[in-house]
Amino acid sequence: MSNEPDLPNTPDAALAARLERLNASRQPATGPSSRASAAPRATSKRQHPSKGSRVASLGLSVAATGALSALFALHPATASAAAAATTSGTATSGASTNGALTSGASTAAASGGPTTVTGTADSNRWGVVQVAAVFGSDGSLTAVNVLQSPDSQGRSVSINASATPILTSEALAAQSAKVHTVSGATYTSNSYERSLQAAIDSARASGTTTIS
Amino acid sequence: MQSAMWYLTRSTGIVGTVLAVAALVWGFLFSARATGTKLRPNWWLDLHNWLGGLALVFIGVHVIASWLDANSGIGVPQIFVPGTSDSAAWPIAWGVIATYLLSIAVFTTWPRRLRNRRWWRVAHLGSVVGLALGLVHSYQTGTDASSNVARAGLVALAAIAVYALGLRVFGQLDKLRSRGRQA
Repeated sequence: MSNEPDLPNTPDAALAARLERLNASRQPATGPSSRASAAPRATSKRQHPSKGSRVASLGLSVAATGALSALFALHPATASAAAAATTSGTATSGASTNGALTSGASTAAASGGPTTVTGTADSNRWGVVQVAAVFGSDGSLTAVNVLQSPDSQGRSVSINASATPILTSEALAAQSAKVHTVSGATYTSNSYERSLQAAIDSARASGTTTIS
Repeated sequence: MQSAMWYLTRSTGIVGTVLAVAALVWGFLFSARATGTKLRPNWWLDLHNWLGGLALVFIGVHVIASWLDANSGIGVPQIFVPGTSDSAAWPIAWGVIATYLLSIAVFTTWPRRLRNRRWWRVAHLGSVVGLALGLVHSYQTGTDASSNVARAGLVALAAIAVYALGLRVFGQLDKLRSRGRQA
């Protein structure tokens, strides 16, 4: 025991300097993470969460889980819409986007008025897009009905619900299938253009229209 | 190439979200003193910092990949300005805001430029809001977000994050109550 040096009172300058460096390395000057290095020495002083806090946190977590689960259960709108569109087929898709135009076109065509020409079904990453172009007696493009659009996911349904009316209004204004791509719905836009172009080509070949 | 960008966007978004939640959980467990005794607190804090930085890296790749994907409709304005996307304006806006908040949290810590602890705390707590917005963003824009697996994953992430947040909040309330009793 008597041979052990008393560290605080040691005259050894090298040892003192080493202790000082050690303390300095354990306590960096400032900054948000300065607690990191100081923490080991304070481990014994750290207040761990009480049992009540843990139970309350667990309860909060369970409540959040239940709330989110209930939200997902009560908010299947997009999923059910997609399922409905899938099971109902093209008629539902067309009706949901341009229902009035669809019925009007078919009635008028029967009386020798407007003519409806169905475009090709164009597949892309998200699904199939198919449109039917309605031409007036003067050969102008009067309506475009979306018969099929990607509907396997709720996200696709919501995107197409906003994109296809824009594409249709552009096509009618331009009297052409060359529409601007709707941002965020590029695949649908391209497929829409190809399907409509096929319908226009078919109508032009049969003499229904002169537009290209 | 476009498909590769699409897959990269999705994968980095998912991994970035998980890493951000992990960083938040590690941070709250550390600050709530719920790290146990086996591992030193500075190990937890270092891991928290590392996870936060790594999450931001993945989110950065996610943003770049979505920009490079010509089919995403994401351009430079959509990356930096919330609400400028033609379609899904709000869901993408949440992601932009979340990225800003997480970036602020990381860059006010990592370079240690912000010495004012109060402002650092405010900036850091902003990342909690950012993470919540990020989860909303992932749910609203994720391709598979409507699937049961994705929903279960989101619920699990939220539950873990809320537990850690609860530990911190209730621990702080305990501390305040004990101080009040002592006074």
